[in-house]
Amino acid sequence: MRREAATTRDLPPPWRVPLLVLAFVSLAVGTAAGLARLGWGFAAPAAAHGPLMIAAFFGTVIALERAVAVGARWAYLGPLASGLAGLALATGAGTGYAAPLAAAGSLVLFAATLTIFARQKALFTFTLVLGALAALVASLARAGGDEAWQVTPWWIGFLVLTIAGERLELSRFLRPSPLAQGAFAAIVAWLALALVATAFTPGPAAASFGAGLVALALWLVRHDIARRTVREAGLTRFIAMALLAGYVWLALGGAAIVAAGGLAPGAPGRDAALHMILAGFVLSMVFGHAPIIFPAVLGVRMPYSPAAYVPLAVLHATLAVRVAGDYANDAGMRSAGGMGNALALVLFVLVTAGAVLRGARARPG
Amino acid sequence: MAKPRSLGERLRGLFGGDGPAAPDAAPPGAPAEAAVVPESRVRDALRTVVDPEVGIDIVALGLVYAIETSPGRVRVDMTMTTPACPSGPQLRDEAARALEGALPEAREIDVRLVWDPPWTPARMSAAAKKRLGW
Repeated sequence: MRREAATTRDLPPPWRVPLLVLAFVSLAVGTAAGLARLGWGFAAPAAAHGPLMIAAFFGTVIALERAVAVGARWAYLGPLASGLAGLALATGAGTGYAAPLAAAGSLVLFAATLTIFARQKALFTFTLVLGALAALVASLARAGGDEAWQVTPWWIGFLVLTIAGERLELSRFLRPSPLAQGAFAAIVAWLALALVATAFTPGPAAASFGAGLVALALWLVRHDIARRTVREAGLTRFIAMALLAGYVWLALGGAAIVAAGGLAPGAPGRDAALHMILAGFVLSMVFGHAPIIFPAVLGVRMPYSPAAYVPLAVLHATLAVRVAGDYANDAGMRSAGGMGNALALVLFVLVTAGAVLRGARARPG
Repeated sequence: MAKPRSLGERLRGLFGGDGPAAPDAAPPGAPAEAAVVPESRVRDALRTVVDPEVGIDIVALGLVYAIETSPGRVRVDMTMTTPACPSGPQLRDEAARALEGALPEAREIDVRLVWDPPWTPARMSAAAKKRLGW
């Protein structure tokens, strides 16, 4: 017996546009907030940089991607709540509602991910569930009064486990051995246990979490299809390049957490570690997959052009400057690198918008 | 040149009219404008739809489960590698557009996304497996 996908109950693509707009408001204001922290004169809520970038921007786009996969209207309440949390933080109006809204958003994301797991019970869907659970724990802790720095390992867990689950799914194309699959499961269990342990011994637990990230990066470099598809051409090669560059930063970022002895505020190299993982790994992943995700979410065409390499190259080059500035304790270099990262985001938006416009012109009829 | 085909494709070909016998598959007496589209042409049109992440087309990846053709009508059942992938509806629409472009005589094109049975890597064609280093 075959079962049809329940596409009729899905939210039509035009209704998804406002959700994506909310995500990009969080990204814009969150980036300006980050620049304000680095000493650039932006009138943005500097303290909200982390929540805007992670809970609001990544939280909204991941919940939106999950809602499209589930194909049911209720699942879009996730990106809606996370997006409104970002709007509250970005405008400064009703910041008190931001944490409860973010918690509601990650609760819906968790439910949507459980729906996916119910459809296909596999290690990779279970890893997605763990990622969504990490987002839920972080947002509930925030709603309960925790500071952003206290939930940072959980936020990283949310993003890293989500990406790891998606990559494990695609690694099936290469037929990983039972031993390799066991190693993946062990690494994910290690990361999950380290996250739980941060409640008891924050420093050592976060350091052990960092070591788990290094192990995960090595696993991904070895087993991801990117290693093979990087020899293809066009979009397929571009995605692979974005992934492989991201895995290098994930390994370096994990090692930096170990070297810093955790993620406590003031730990040397904390800023570098966070941005190696969140900008070098996660944003690189976003840049690489935008040509797939935008068409999937908005129903638009987005023809690939090599111009996509420009924001990717700027992101990685300027992140290297920023990280070097962090370790050299050179504030000017760090600020310049941060501005370069922001420039990469602007270029990314321009290249993406350009591709969508070209796609709209090329569409017949 | 014969394309390498998986056992499943060859079996479906036996029952679905894929191959040289297909153009004659229209029932006798059917009107000319409602000819049965040969399954091989449907399959060739679907080969233009590529999964960008892997760089391999949906037929070679084994994502096309069934092709049914009747006078003036084409129906395709396809899947994705996982229901966790948000690209399903997009690739389904792309497949439908590819069929509309390549098969102007088909008045009704219906591409459905199905999840049962779940896709496994074993469904890939021999050529796709080789390309991925199996």
